[in-house]
Amino acid sequence: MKTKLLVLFLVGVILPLEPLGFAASAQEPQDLSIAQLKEQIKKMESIEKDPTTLPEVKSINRDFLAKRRVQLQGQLAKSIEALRNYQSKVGPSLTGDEKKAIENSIGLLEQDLKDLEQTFPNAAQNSSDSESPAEGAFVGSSTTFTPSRSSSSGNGLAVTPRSDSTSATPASLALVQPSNCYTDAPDLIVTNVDRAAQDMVTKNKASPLSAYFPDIFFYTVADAVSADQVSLRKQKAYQYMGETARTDKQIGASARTAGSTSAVEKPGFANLLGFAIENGVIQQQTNATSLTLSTSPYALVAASQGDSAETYEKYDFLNRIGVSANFNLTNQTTVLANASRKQLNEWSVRFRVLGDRSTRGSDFRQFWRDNISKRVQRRLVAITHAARVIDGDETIRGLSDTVEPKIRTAVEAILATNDPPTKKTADIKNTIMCGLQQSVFNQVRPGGSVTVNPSTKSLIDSDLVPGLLSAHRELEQARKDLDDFFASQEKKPMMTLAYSNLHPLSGANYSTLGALYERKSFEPMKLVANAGFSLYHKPDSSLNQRNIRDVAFALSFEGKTSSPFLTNEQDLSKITFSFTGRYQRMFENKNRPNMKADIAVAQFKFEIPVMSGMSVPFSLTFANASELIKEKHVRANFGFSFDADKVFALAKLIRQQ
Amino acid sequence: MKQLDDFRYEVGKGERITIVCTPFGIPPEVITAALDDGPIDPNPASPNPTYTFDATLPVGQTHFFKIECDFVNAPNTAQTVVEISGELNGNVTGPFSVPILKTDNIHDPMFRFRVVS
Repeated sequence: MKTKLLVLFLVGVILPLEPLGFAASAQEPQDLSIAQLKEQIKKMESIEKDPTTLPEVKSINRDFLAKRRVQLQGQLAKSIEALRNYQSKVGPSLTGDEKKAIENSIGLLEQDLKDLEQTFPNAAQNSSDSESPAEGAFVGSSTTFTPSRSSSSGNGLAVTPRSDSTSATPASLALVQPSNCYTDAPDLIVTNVDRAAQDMVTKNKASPLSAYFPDIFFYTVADAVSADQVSLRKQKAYQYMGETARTDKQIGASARTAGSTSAVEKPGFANLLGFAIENGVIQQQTNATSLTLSTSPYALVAASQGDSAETYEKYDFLNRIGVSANFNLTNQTTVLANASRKQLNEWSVRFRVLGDRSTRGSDFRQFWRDNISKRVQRRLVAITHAARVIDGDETIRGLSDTVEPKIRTAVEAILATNDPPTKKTADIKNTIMCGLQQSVFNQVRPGGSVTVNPSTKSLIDSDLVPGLLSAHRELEQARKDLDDFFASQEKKPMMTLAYSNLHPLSGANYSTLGALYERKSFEPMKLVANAGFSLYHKPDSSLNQRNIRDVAFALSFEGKTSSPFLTNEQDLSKITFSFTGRYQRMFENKNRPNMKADIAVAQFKFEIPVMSGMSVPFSLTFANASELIKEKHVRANFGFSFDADKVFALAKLIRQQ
Repeated sequence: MKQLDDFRYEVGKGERITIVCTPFGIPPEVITAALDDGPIDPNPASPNPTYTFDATLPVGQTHFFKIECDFVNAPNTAQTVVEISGELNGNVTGPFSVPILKTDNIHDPMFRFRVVS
């Protein structure tokens, strides 16, 4: 039967057309010019109308006719786009006549496109009596997505078929509501469209669509034809290996500073790279009574030379050093106005001796190379491989070449509006989802107008979809491994040497020198130990002061557990708690009335995340005396801590999901 | 090489395409890439991840280069600058510079190189 059809086709179509220059074997349809395509379409339409043409020939001719129309649409859209690009690039250099000539050319091409769209539905209608699977084939793909603003509903539906849907668009397509397109699309598509739409609005250009179009086009084709559509639709979108919880980040001043809720200092403070340049060269932290500014020499170098791998390699040593200054907070309105010499409580320099938990460190880089990189790459290969297979299928490539410029044109029109960003984003998402459903999914699904090559379908079923799903599964394991890696990093010992220069509100200035050490102890606790001494800058012998002011030791056990207050499942912030004991020998207090030389402090402290990015630290301190008076006392401190980075990261995660 | 937009390029058959990725605020290891049907690894001699390949497909077809930058625990200022250039018969075009920011939503863009002549 196939042989018979082929013979009929050769006799009835190819041979009669050959003298007219219809050399399909020599030139692929996508290589033909607009004029050539128009000529071929005209000939094919005459064959379609010829009552003497055999039905088998008509059926094949109709398929080819439909393909040529899609090609012509693509060529017209490309030419329009090219002329517009040309217009925008060299427009100012053109004369009035030249500009007019370009406008005329664009106008003619747009008219051709419009005419073509109006003839498509007729073609579909004409073939409706036929049993050809190609009937109605390109109605959807002929739909031009034109942004429209619905003034009555106010929902600003982004996409409406530009062709006259009441007379020409099949009911199935006409009923598709632009704001409700492709509601059952796989998460892979929805998330990518969402990401692209947000970036398009943020950057005010359509190129992020190009960054993801091959991905979402493949996902849509696979969703339409895959034998394993169920698994594809169940697959969660890939989330990048992003921000994870950091527990060694101490916000606030050192334990000696007034208002601090810490009786022990954590060596992780010195690892400034993770946060010193997070929001610029200098980082600012405030609590109810003090302001802390911190930075690192590396941050200063990175600010001038760029925080590149080369800079990091060259100045890694500087990353071991952290500098901070703490000020009394009296002006709550203009916080930085407190950063004056007069209000300086202390400044300190710290040097990390042991332990680098940053992602720039050699441990992390080696781990990534050995355990993560190849798995990340596997998903990328799954997608590029799929894109190549799609590109190798002439029919599907033609469809992609037709649909993408239309969506891009519609997106550009939305971007050109004065709508607020949220509306633009929603409109763009709708435009893309409607375009994918109407012009891709509906066309390539079984019974649709575009027949996917059996070998392509076979590859989608046997290779592309399984490969993609398998790569996603591996990435989930990679994510767990990465979490485990960070957990193991926390168990590694970290040691920092610290120098602080203190300016108490009352009393003489002095400096402290100490070592800060941290390591994992028993689950779920870790041990933090401090040891150090302090020296007076100018000891006052009348106050019994000597050069050495005090020696101090502190030991703390810290733990963490999940917070019951967080409603956002993406927020992994934990309740942290600690028990701390501290001993201090104040030499000048010896033999002085109402003074105690040996001071012991016990402290219980916890910090509860109450909502995303915000937590409440609280401490309760028992002491047998203070440095100034021999009197037992209980002191409570509490405040609010706000982490803008965490809020940002969470908001982004939520948007993506 | 002709740039159509940040992520789409037209190239000549046989053209050598070079993609240099310069990371800021992240180590180079967290940049990963794939080309067409397989993985592509960076040139080990280059300090920044550098990928090179030739446009070998038939005219009309496209090379797909997908890259992912994972900004794990990176500062918000982190980014990777992707610079794309082409060389055909001694003529160099580009580099065309495309930044991938941590604050972007897309960290794994696909770059396309369609062979047009």
